[in-house]
Amino acid sequence: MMKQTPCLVCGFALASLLGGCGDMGTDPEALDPAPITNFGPAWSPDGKRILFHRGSRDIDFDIYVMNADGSNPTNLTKNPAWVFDAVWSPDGTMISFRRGNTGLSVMNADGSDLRDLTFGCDYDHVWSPDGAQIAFRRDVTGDPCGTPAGNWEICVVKADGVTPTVLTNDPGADLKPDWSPDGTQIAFQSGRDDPFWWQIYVMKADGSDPTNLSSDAVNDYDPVWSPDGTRIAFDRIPFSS
Amino acid sequence: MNADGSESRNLTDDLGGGNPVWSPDGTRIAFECVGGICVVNGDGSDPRNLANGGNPVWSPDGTKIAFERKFGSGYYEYTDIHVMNSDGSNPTNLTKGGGD
Repeated sequence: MMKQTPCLVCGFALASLLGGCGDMGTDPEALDPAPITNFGPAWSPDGKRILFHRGSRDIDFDIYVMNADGSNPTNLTKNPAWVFDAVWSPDGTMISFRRGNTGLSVMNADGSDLRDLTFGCDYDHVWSPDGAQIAFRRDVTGDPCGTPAGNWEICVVKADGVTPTVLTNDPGADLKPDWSPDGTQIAFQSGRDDPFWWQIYVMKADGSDPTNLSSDAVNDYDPVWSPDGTRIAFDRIPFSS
Repeated sequence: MNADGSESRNLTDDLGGGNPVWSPDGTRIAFECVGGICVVNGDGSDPRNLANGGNPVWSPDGTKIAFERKFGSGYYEYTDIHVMNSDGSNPTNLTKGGGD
């Protein structure tokens, strides 16, 4: 029997992956279960393994790791909750992920020592290059997670700690943090100047000196540092959001 | 653009673009384009459409790219993890999802 997939649990990642909640409705003529889907690949830092997410919209998603040739896929989470956005720590010893809309968790790369790291509407998490901290965006309004009008701020939490520090403080949305390769700066996407035009900002890793790098009337988002730290790639759409 | 915001440049005029990722050596950028997965040099030269798919990620040595490819449609749509060489050759499905 088919089960209706509630939009509340689909989250941003799945919504974008599958084209939005509107595409996920139950087909009344369908008799087969939803297909098994595999998504979100990430190479281990040594290049020998690939982690990915596997599951079905009828059940849940788990984090798997396989060898780089596809052999020996292993379920690390066997979790009844929905997990997304899994990434390796820089040294490959740990894996972090998002528990649906309820926070971030970390575990050893073999799935052992699973523990919850944050408890909030926390997305876009990225490890600092030295592996000591994780930056992410949090909706600080307390509204239901995923509310479009949420106020997103950039936060950091120590990889062994549970109390995040909020780095940004403004009414506009701040999201998509990315550490500079030397760990001293964080680039991010901000709507603080004008809610209709996203800009690329850079701040120091302690949140000081936020600087608008792309001040203009176009939409700039998804900043990523070049490996040598001299350049930043980003998306641009020359239309208002 | 440079890390101080100067010399902002459009690398992908006619390709569309999203979700950029640098190659580990910093010379190329893979991204999602109208035709699937594209790669362009960091100075905008030599843009190539490599494969039908999305969410590209470079292997640490830069020789391969893992990505997602869609199958089916609507309720029955699913994706599988593929790996190809970074020139687009030899795409291989590693996960075989769907009905199993």
